[in-house]
Amino acid sequence: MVTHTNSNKNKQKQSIITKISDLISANQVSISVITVLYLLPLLTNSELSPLRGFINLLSGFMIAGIFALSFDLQLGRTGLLNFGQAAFFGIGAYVTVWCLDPILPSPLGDILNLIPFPLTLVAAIFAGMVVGIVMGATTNRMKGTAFAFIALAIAMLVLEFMELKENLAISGGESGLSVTRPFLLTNWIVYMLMVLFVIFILSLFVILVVKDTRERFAFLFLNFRPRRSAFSYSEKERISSTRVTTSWIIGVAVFILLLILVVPNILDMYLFATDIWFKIPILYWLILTSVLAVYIFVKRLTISPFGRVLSAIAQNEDRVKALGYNTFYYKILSVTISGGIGALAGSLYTVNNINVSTPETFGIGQAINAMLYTILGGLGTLLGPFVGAVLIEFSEWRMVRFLWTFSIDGQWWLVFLGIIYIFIILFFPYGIVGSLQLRSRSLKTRIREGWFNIRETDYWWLTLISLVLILALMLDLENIMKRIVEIFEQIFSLFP
Amino acid sequence: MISLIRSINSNEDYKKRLILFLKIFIALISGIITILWIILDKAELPNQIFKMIVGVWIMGLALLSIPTPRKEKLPQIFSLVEIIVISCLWLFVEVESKGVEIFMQNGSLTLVNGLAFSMLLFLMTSGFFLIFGLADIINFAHGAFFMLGGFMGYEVYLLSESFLITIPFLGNDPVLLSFICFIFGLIGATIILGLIGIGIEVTTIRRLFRKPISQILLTVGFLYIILQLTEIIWGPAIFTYNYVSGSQTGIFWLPRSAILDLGGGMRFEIYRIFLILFGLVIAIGMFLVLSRTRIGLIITAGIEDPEMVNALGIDTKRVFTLVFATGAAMAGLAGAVAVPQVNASLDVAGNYLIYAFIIVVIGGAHFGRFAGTFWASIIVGLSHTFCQFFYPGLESIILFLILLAILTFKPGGLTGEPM
Repeated sequence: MVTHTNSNKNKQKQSIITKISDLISANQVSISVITVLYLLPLLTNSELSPLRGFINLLSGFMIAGIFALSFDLQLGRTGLLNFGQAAFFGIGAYVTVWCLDPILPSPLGDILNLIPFPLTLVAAIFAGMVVGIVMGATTNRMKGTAFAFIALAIAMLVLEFMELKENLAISGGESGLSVTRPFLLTNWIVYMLMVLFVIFILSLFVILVVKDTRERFAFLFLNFRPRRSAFSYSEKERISSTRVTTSWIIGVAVFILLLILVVPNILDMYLFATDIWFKIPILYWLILTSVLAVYIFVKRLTISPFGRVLSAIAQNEDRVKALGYNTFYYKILSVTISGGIGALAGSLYTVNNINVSTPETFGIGQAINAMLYTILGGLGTLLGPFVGAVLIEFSEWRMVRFLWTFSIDGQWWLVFLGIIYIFIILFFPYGIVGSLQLRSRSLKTRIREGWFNIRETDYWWLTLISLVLILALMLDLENIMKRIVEIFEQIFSLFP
Repeated sequence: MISLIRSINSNEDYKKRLILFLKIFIALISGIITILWIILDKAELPNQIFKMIVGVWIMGLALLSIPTPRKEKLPQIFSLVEIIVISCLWLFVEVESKGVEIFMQNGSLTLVNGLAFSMLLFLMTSGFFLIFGLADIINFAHGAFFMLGGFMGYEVYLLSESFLITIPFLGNDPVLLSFICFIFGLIGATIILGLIGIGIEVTTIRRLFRKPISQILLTVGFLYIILQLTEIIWGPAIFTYNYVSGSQTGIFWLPRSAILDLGGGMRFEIYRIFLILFGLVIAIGMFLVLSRTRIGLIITAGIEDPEMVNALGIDTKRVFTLVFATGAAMAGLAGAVAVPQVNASLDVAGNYLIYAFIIVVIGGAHFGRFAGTFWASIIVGLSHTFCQFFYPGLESIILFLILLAILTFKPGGLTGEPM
């Protein structure tokens, strides 16, 4: 009996280890992306650097991405065009304001002030879900435009209510309210905890590197074995086949190399930084973590039976009704969940921006923004809203300087932005990610067989390099463009 | 909650009774609250509660428009009687507090202003409705067309004045010259915007036919381009005809102070009356075109059922080019007509776009009729102006209350198909 249970335990332990290793090898691309994104704040020290500003900018982009994802959950998955999305964003933002600031009067009195900081995000999510339930319950029988405009009317009612003269103390009007920054955001202990978390993710990345090198460069290790095809032996055999120590030496070396890059910055932050310096990295990590949580949640949701019913409603609601589903209930739930996510985006916006005003958060511009991000990135694709948000926000931010490098007057920026939108939607009618996904299979086979002979296992480092390149390009776009223009000028000057 | 909803869904008879009960309940509550408010005097209550009550009152008003079988006429009759009683009470309170004469003056003034405003809205929204009905495109650039029409009309006015002033009999009569130039400005704005519309449709919108979501991004792109180009060319200045900056004579045919005095304190601006007549003429013309001519009938049928029209061998794509150009041209005409009233500026684009949204949805967007847009623009224009005059601060909220109330009970809009 005893031996039996022991072997059972062993089996379980083994299965957990293999599960983790399976998880790592299944998500190679996402782990490498996450590692790069989490590592970014550790590359700055307690001095002003362009990277610090860039990280702040990235956290703004990611908030826009969360908001766009909440919009996409309705339009892309359930087929509900919601013009009132700004209501969720604004409610999230203002609930956070009321929770964080004990001086400001709030509609619920002092109860909201009892909620400590990280839980304010949860409170905001709940508030957004309540608004979502109200919106969903009043609009559930509508389709298409009627739904869109009822939602718009509800959002506008909330906006007008907030802009009333009697509510100026609550809302702050057009100049807005400024919040005291939460204590946890400017605290070195939290910073160090987050650094530990980042190091944990780094170690995951190192395991990935170790596994990959072991497979790739098997001939370098002591117990040399002829390389077989991937189908001939199982994962367990592969692990036992190479000696662990040699590959782990490489892994530890990579880990130490990464730490050498990072540790001086951490020490510098610990020794010289005042409290304010911790704000940007901690906020960045907070927002990145919530992006990951929302992304995984929505991904699981769309795979689940519930998500299947939602996409069935988007395609043909009558048929879903005929199959016996209560579409009414599913639509309300969809609006509610999306309201919660939108409110989370608003709440993070408050924490990030400190100043919140009604036209910025509740205004129709916010809803139009969400729509643009989603349509440009691709409807119903999880990555699309994020791609659209980063592209639009970045081009809005950098367009003027970009035009200066071509000696065009800066006031043409909106014209060029409009032209870019039009061209993108003409050539990618289903959004960037959506249109690429439609062609991805033929592209993949072409890359694999025709051009470079790339395998599945090569994707992660290709993604890693391209992500780093993209980030570098975003950080220093106009200098690179200047160089290119100069080179072209030199080339043209050669031919008189 | 969910089990309750399920039980309601499963039991049709119970559902009907519940809805009947709810209707009577809403009508009763709204009536009682409103009568209480009038008795108690609105100054006693804080402004917020007052606004919420107005909302409830409009919910009662909306009960009128519910399509119900004969057995359930009771709540409708009830709410109709209640609305009449409340309106009489409101009139009584207003007349009592301010006197008959002042009430008549204010009422007639706001009526004329509101009608002029709604005609302006109708001129602009008719094009939006045609585009939306035929091809499902939510044209975000429509407000920008309206704004551009104002600037174009202004430019054509100046241009034609500089040409026509050389003709001796016009040069001696600045008022006639100005009037002729104004007419030229209207025509010019219409033609230029029509051409812009054709250009946009042929180059881009046609390529994404029947993809309404992608077309939102397209029209937003055009909105940005037009807005920014206008700002680059004309700057953030506001143009009015009170002071025509580039003009050689400096006289507009109708000064702002031109007033029609009917006696008894009823004084109306002549330009507003001109606007009402102009809008009515255009509306009648469009009705005739849509109901009598072949192309008009094709458009009307296309709005109701585009697939059937396609099946009959008519290329709706080609018809749509014409409709888009007409829509843009109508927006341009409305913009040019509006300039003496509203002034040409950049803010106009966003504001009037929202009016267009509201009107089209109230009037009945899908499968709707043209008359719906006309009546909806009158409802919106009148309620907006009345609120602006009698209850300032309420005018921006009331439109959304009306929209909410009508769409809650008639999701297809006033003339649209009930869902």
